[in-house]
Amino acid sequence: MVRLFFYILVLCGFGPGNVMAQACGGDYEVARGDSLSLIANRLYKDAGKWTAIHTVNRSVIGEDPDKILVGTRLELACINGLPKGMSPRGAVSGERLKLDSVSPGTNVSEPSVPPVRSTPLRVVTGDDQAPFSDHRLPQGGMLAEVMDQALQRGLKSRTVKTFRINDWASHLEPLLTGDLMDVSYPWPKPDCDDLSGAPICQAYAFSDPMFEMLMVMFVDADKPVPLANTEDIHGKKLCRPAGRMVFMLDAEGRGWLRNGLIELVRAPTVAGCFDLLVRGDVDAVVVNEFTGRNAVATLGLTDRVTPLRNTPLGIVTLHAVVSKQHPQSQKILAALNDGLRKLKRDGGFQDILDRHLSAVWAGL
Amino acid sequence: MRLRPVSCILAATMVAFSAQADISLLTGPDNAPFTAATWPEQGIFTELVAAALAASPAPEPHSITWQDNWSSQPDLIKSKAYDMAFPWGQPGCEVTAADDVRCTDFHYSEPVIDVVILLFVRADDEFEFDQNADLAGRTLCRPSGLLTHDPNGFEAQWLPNDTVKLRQPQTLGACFDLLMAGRVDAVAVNEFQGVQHMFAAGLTEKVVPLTRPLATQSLHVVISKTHWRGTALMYRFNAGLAKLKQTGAYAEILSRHIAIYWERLKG
Repeated sequence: MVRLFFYILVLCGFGPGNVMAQACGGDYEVARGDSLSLIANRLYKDAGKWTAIHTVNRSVIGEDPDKILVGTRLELACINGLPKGMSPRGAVSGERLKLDSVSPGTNVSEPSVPPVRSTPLRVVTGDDQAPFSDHRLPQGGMLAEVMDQALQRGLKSRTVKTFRINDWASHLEPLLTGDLMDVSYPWPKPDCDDLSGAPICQAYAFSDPMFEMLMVMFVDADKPVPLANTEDIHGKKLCRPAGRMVFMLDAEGRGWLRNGLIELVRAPTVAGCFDLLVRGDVDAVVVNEFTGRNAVATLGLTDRVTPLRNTPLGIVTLHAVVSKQHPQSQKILAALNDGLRKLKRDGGFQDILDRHLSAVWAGL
Repeated sequence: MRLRPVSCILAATMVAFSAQADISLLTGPDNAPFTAATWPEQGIFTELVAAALAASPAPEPHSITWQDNWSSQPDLIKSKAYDMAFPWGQPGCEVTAADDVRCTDFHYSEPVIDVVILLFVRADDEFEFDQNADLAGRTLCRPSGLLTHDPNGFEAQWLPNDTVKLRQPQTLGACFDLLMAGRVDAVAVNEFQGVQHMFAAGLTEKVVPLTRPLATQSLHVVISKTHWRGTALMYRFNAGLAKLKQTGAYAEILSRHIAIYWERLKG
């Protein structure tokens, strides 16, 4: 059973050369008497930052932030230049970092803050987005590979750290808005001129598109509900995987969600939505055609579930996003877009798509 | 009327390109009435494709490149040198040819036009064709340069090819020459192009099409399955085509071209 909001954090190394020592942030070993808020207070000068420690270390801590074990190694992300003097992530060291090695009075003034370029770009993605992003796929998925290659080409000397956090909702808020992460992907881009997309576009900036596809409704093949018109949709239950955007339900003048025409059901995962569909608990699953068809094939539902491809909810493109509040949002997107252009020019983009999509179609 | 004037060959290498074009399409010349620089609107198929794209949701500008080497189309589409190509026959992906690369590597649009493949035989030949088995021992001719870029491909599904010999010269004219020389028994080609050639070559008294069709062939627009916009562009096209059929624009285009076709036969 997949649990709602269960975080899996997988640190994706892009080869040994890419993970460089940070002048800020690093590893911390839990000592007797520690709590996350105590650690946050000492090292981030802000007890409230315990959530940041929990978020980044959920795979080792688990759901309950109060249960931390002595000796557990936690990764402390660099937030606003803190904490200082930590052992670099992954460093081979038997020496335990003492809490008091950073005293409350430690000077954290500007001169010691490293130049921005030397801090890795923090990229966050997550699972359950096959074929685009899932750690179980080759290279972590098609767009994971595209992002990796594009950033290598676009960023020059700056390194990249990629995190996997499966609570997709947390990517936009608070990870991007709270400056805990720099970039998240993949996200569909709404129509920014439309009421359904405007709020998202006000808060986030999108990279150039990396893929284009249909957002469709998957329905029970035995109950081919006509879902093309407003009257047909009234009172229907539509499932959308947790944390994924819902603008398509309101776009193109539909207003299904805004006007309360449908009931939105959130399942923790794509498979969870399809479970609800075959049990008759929802009328349709709204998901992009690739992730949906992959799930249908994996779950052995090909004969039972069918996508309404002739009446899609829209053509969507997939992007990386940054918070517009991020001081370097424009710079980061410019570097990524530059990398994407280079990747398309040198044929790398097509190589990646050929490999991943050939496997996709062979499996369907 | 000559079918293949020099200007047509020159047009083959001419690239109609708009700097703003977002969707690049590839086709071949010298394929009247479907795709030909000398035909009004550059052919029935070309006009239908352009109209379908214009009627598609979130339409984008497009450009059409005329490439006279039909056999290069699969590679140019696979390498994404162009986004889409037309017209292609579908090799029976649902039935016999699922493992064929043309099925595994390309998405096919909804049929844009269905054409009937007829056998054109010598008028004095007692050619019995009541069932496919009647073709045993016969030699058929089908040009490699018209609609089919892969001579060993889609014919296989409707030709009992272990008993039928197939000749594949470059042009339809060469097929009719072989027919008149008695070197082949029939020319297998769609009715439009077969009848057109009969008139153009002055063979209306010497050649007849058999009434029983050899096959019906649907003609499509294709895109690579690994194109980053593969399914989205195909959806745009299909939705535009459906709209053309709904509004009557499809029927208007088709009947206009068929009228032109018959006028040109007489002319």
